[in-house]
Amino acid sequence: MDGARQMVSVGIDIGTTTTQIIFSELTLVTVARAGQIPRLDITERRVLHESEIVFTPLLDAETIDAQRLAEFLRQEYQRAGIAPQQIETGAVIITGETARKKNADQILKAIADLAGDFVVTVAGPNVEGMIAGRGSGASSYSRQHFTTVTNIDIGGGSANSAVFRQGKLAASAAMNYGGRVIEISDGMVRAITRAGQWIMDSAGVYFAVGDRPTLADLHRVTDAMTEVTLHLIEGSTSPLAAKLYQTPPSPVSGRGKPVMFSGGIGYYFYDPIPLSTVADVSRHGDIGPLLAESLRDCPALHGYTILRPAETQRATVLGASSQTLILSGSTIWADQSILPLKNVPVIRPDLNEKPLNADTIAAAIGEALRRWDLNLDSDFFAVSHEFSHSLDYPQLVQIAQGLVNFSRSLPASRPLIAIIKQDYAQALGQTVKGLVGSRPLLVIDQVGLEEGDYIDIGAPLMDGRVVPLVVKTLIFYH
Amino acid sequence: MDDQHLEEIVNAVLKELAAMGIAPSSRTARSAPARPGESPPEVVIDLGDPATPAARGSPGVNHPADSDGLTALMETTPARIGVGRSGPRLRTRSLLLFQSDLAVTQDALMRDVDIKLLDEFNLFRVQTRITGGKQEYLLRPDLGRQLSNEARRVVAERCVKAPNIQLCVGDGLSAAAIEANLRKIFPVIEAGCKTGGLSLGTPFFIQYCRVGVMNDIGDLLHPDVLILLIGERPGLGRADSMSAYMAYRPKSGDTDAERDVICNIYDGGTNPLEAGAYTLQLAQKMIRSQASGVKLKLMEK
Ligand code: B12
Repeated sequence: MDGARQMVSVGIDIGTTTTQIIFSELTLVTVARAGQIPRLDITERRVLHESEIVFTPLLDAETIDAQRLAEFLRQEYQRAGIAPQQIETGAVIITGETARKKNADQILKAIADLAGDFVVTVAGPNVEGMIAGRGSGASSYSRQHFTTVTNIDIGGGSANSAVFRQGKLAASAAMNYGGRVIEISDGMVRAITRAGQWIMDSAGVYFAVGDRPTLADLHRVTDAMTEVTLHLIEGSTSPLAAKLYQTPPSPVSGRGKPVMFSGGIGYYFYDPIPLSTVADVSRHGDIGPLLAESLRDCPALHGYTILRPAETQRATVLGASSQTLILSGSTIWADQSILPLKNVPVIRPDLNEKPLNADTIAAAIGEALRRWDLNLDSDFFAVSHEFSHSLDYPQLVQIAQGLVNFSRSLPASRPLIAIIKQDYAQALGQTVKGLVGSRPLLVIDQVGLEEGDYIDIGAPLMDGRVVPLVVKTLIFYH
Repeated sequence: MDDQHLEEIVNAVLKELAAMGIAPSSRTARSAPARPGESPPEVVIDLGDPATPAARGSPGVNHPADSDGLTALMETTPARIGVGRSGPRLRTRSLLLFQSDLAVTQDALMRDVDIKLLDEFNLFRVQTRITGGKQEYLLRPDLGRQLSNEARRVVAERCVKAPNIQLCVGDGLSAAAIEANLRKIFPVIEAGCKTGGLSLGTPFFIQYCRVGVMNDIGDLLHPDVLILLIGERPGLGRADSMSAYMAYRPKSGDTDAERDVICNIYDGGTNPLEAGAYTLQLAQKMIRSQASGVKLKLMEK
């Protein structure tokens, strides 16, 4: 069997309050399965270096200091003894409020040379929750224990829930509150976010920037946050929750199932500190530790099995560095000359309830493509599809023919890229190749994608039989 | 042992039991086969079909501590876990499922492959040296590894010699496996040969086929790679699984060490379309390396 192969992966988490970076080494091993087609698996994820957790450098409340941020990251590369060129994969995740800050694009530019060629940028409330839940260990716990676990990651400005059922993401949701909705130093309120104001209004607590709130007042604020956290867990809502939700409530309720807390709030949830004064509470300049205490004291949560995750504060950055790479199925069809590819948009033709014949398929792909404003002479794109049932040969031929008919509308040298969920890539690739002539062709499987996803596809591994992929969504909050 | 002999033993035992004062219970008597002249007893089974996927997946344990977990655990294996029991015994549901699955297995093993299917792919039919039907096939694997003289003559006469790929189909231990997968895998292999620029020999079907018959075919036709699609020994209730045994330039004296196998081909294992494409990829590798089996594996190191 082919030997193991290592990949260095980076995770960068730029949060509302803090920024962290972790370097990991992923080990990819060919797993022989008696009598079956060998498969490539990520068998080990080892942390090579983890940074301190630093405050995200800001120019003002609205703007991240991109230069200082890049400086911090550069320093950490040096400390780790890792050059940007060594990085093969990974993710930069800009979470919560930060992603709304005006200069997200500028940040990405400033760190572009550090992030290596295959590092992707991910954002979007659903992705955040999933990455935090994978990084915290909730996902693997649910797989190992054949159970359903809800991971609640609360940071400075965002709260994300992700429900994992036997290792798979079943649902997610997000709200925009966190420990930093109110900033306090020297006993005085320095800032209140819009979400913070809503929470205070709902709790019937009144103070303003410059005031010196009592511990009891702050407690009422964090109790109201605890209440919306319950809604986040249970997929329910309230007038306050409705304002804070950035997604629809989770379609899968975590009620009665084990829960894990991660993020900065998760840290203080499991390792509480005594909080008898406002000064105790605001040791980080916000009310995070008090929110953790409110959660601990919440009677409704006492009915839950609360599990301690493997990672709390570092869940997101660890998830970004070690859990974003996925591998295709091990029977694919790849003209290696066109790989690697970056930033390929995914289009999903609507084939539901349509007969699987070549003309319908070609028309549906053309239709889906029109939704995008792509320059077909220069832009790559991938067609993605899932079949709801097993295919027979005539259906396979129709699908292949549909792809080929569609490809005639493309310039001759443009590659045809198809990505399917079920394990048919090699058969489909072979069939398309027989019809399409010299057009470069890439057909990969066992990857489920949504319209609006962007993917990076790395150079093939394992004798050309597997490709690594990273799925990202570039949809920022607006 | 024939049926008459069996019946004699049963009667003798019953007589002995009667002599000891132990009579069959009235319930046993009621479900006994009807005697001539009597109307058959009415059997009422107040159970749904235990063989549906939903019924197979539903736990039989009463009041499980973690019912989600139990269902999830059951989904990870076709083994009969989480089925519960009634006192020390199997539940009726488990017993019926077991019997029904065993019947599926036996049918697949004892039945012949549908001739219509073979005609669809223009497969002519030859036989190994088995002459006494499936019973002999099961008892004499050695004869199942050799083509009959008639078969040798027909194969030599009708088949293209020295193709890149020779494709053969054998019933092996499951007719159902061939019927479930041939329509899907055959055209993929055929089309793949064309795309890959490989010549495909004249395919044919072998009845009462064992894997070892590949040597005889190699001696007669000298293909670069021989692919034998053959029914796998069925598992309980799962009879659709087919294997592709493959060898580079097979010849008499070769053993399984010179062969490769891709197993578990069915919708549920490696689907037959994908398996067809993979089989050809492996065949091309065998041709490139001029080896198969253990030798090919060692070359990879
Ligand atoms: C029955 C069986 C056996 C029996 C065969 C008994 C016999 N003489 O008939 C025994 C127990 C001896 C056996 C041994 C081995 N087997 Co076995 N066996 C099977 C099984 C359960 C069914 C095979 C079948 O239905 N064949 C069809 C009938 C019609 O063929 P047959 O002509 O009657 O029997 C021949 C084949 O079964 C063949 N055979 C059996 N196993 C293997 C393995 C390989 C690599 C090859 C090339 C041939 C081969 O040997 C028989 C004599 O020629 C399959 C499981 C499956 N899903 O297919 C595993 C399976 C084929 N065996 C497997 C393995 C690994 C082996 C061993 C290498 C185990 C070992 N490490 O020693 C040995 C090799 C034996 C050999 N022939 O050289 C793997 C093959 C994986 C692979 N592709 O490499 C399988 C798929 C099981 C698994 N999932 O692990 N096996």
